[in-house]
Amino acid sequence: MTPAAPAANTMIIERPLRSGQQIYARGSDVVILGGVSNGAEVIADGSIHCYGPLRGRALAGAQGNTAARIITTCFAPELVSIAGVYRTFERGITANLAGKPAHAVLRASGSGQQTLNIETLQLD
Amino acid sequence: MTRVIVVTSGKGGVGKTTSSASFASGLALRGFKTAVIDFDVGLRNLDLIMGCERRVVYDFVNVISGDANLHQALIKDRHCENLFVLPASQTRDKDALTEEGVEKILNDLKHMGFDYIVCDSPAGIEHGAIMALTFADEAIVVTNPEVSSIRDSDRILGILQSKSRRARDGQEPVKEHLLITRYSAKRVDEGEMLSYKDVQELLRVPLIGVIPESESVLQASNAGTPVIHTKEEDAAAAYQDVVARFLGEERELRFVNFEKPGIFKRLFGG
Amino acid sequence: MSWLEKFFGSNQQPKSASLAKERLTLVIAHQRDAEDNTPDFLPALQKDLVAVISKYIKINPDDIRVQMEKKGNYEVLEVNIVMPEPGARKANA
Repeated sequence: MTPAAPAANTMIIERPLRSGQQIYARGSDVVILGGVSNGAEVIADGSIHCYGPLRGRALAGAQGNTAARIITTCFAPELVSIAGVYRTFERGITANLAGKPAHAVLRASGSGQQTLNIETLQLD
Repeated sequence: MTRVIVVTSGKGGVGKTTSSASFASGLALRGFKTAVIDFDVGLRNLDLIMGCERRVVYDFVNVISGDANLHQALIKDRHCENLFVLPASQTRDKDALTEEGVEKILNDLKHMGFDYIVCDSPAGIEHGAIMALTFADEAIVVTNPEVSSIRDSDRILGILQSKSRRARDGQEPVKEHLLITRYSAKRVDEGEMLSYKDVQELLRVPLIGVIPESESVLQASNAGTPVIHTKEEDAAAAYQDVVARFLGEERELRFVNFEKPGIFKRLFGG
Repeated sequence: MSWLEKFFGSNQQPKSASLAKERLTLVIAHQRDAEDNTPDFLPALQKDLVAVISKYIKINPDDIRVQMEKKGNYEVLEVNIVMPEPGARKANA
């Protein structure tokens, strides 16, 4: 499985993204140091790397890059989307994922469809 | 170097004006020449909380439009030396508060030798609130341990980091402080109220203090005396701690631990 | 307040509330007075007057001034209209 190719000029946000704010990393990945608050939105053509609680909305692969991922040290979002395939968490997040390091990735299922999987990450 | 501090929150009714009054008074009590300005447009509050409502002749907009100068509009506080109040205008015209006008007044205050300028922001994210935070060097974000207040504080933090002059000019960002008000250690202990640690975790801003819910706050505003002047009251002591921490002193967090009263207190009331 | 004070009643309680009431009576009276002095409808009235008068006489909006003044015991609504030159009075049909 080829990892998501890091794009040139990764956008780096050095402060938390706050409610009502929206960031769009055009043509690149984005790294957010400090988390994404509820009510904030981060969009990238590449992958999204969130160090800190991801509580808002994250949309990766915005122009259709299905290899993009959403990676975070603390999974608690309202919505995640990769290349338009999205999932919301209105009914909560399962205990094995909530607040844990995790990533969202598109995986091909048996029928050839792409499904949006959320998988925990073993970081230590 | 004069420091401009905005006291803001987004949410209304959480304790901005109460905190502005006590914080500015605390700085003045320490010997710093302090001005506190009411940035609301149309609804005047700070003068009542400071107890100088009968001495308002000219206001913020009068000075901006040239009807009066700063010396005529600034009201010397009757409780402490070194403290001056600039009241809000009662006008309904929100365009009366211009960015150039506000900048000029702040510069004039700096030239008058003020050490600190405290800007009491109105609620919301409209013009008055934006003007209050535009020239801030530091911000005290007043938050109640309650869902709407926390989200609104988060919103105002985002706006601070994008709409302030420091942000627009690419300077060092506005220094953020979290002030939690109306805290009840008892309700936190019962699991009915978010703890200060929860609020800090959600907002990710350094904590400058926790003010406990207190009857003394209402009494203080009734009397027109900022609560920090009240003797032997928890809220007053908590505001003293906030001023101390702001000035770089170490103070342990008080009034955040609930001690269950002993059997006698529980039977006969405390 | 100790339980003794609760039992025998405390005369500390009404103090700050009555002080507040006293302060507010003055403040609100003053506020209402200031409100009455500049009625909201004056700019709209001026616009309407310009529209009506323009039907009969050709005038500039700036040539009409509407003011409300307190003259002793009663209020006076004053309307000033500067008439154009005799030749130029014919209104637009």
